[in-house]
Amino acid sequence: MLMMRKIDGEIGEDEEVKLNAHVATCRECAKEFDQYKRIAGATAKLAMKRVPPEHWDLYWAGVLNKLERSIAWIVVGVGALAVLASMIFRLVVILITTNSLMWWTKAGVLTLMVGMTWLFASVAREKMAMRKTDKYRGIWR
Amino acid sequence: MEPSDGELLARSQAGDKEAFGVIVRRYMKRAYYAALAIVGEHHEAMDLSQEAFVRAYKGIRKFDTSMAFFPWFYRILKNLWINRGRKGRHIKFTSLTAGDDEEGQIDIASSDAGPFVAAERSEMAKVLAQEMDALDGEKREILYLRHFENMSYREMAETLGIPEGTVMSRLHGARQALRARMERYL
Repeated sequence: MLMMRKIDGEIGEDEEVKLNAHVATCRECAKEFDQYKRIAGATAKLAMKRVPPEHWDLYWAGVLNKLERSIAWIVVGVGALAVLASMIFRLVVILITTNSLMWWTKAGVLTLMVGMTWLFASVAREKMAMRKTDKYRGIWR
Repeated sequence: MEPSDGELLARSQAGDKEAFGVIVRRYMKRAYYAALAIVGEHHEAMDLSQEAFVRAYKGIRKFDTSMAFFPWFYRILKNLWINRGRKGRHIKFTSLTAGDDEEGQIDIASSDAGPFVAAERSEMAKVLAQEMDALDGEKREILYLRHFENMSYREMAETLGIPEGTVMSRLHGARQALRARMERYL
């Protein structure tokens, strides 16, 4: 570990004296230290590919577009939920007021709808509970 | 005088989108290259880093403006990547070969190879780039933060949310793995 600290410039004076003294007398450790230094030196010389300047010019616009789209998706979601709720309400009203349907047909459809709503509420509750207990909630997932 | 990060982030918290735009322009290259190191592909790195800025803006009110922005942002980026299920993907390290441009940096769109290039045209540099690609994600990440972000142990610990001792042992493990793979070149 002292070798790592020395290579990364994080070693204290006392530790450095200790490391140098040991490396001076131990051929095996001196070889190991030299190899680590060469590895670190070569790694530091790797570079990353250049990105054409036009990508940077458009970068912020890209972030703004994504931000706008994320808001648009929320609006779409709320709208879809409102339409769905309205349709379910209408269906329930029709089921109750249609005399030609058998009582067990009405009961079956209503039970199905109650079950679906229950499932939806259960998943929503689970998601909410996960958000409360998630240690990364302040970070974002 | 350029406004400080703290000042811009405080304005962003008050809903000033343009102030956040300045932050984005200030950090976009670091964000992109951090994403590129993780995903290994230009378009996905662009998308991931931009999406991370969107998440950062949405969660900006939770940010403590007395803290450094990038470590917080990096955690958002990394969590986003994990959530996208890309954990198993490898970074592609490559070395600079004859025919690349004069400045010693290949254009990102000019080659199918990965995001990293060796500044030296030696055999060792080429092999090192390949061997880094073969390391597991945790080892590549720690080497990226140390050598490409030039982070100190304290900064890496803060960014990764781990103790400094763990940072040191991860670095040791990563270099040990490279040493074992590169023995005949050392």
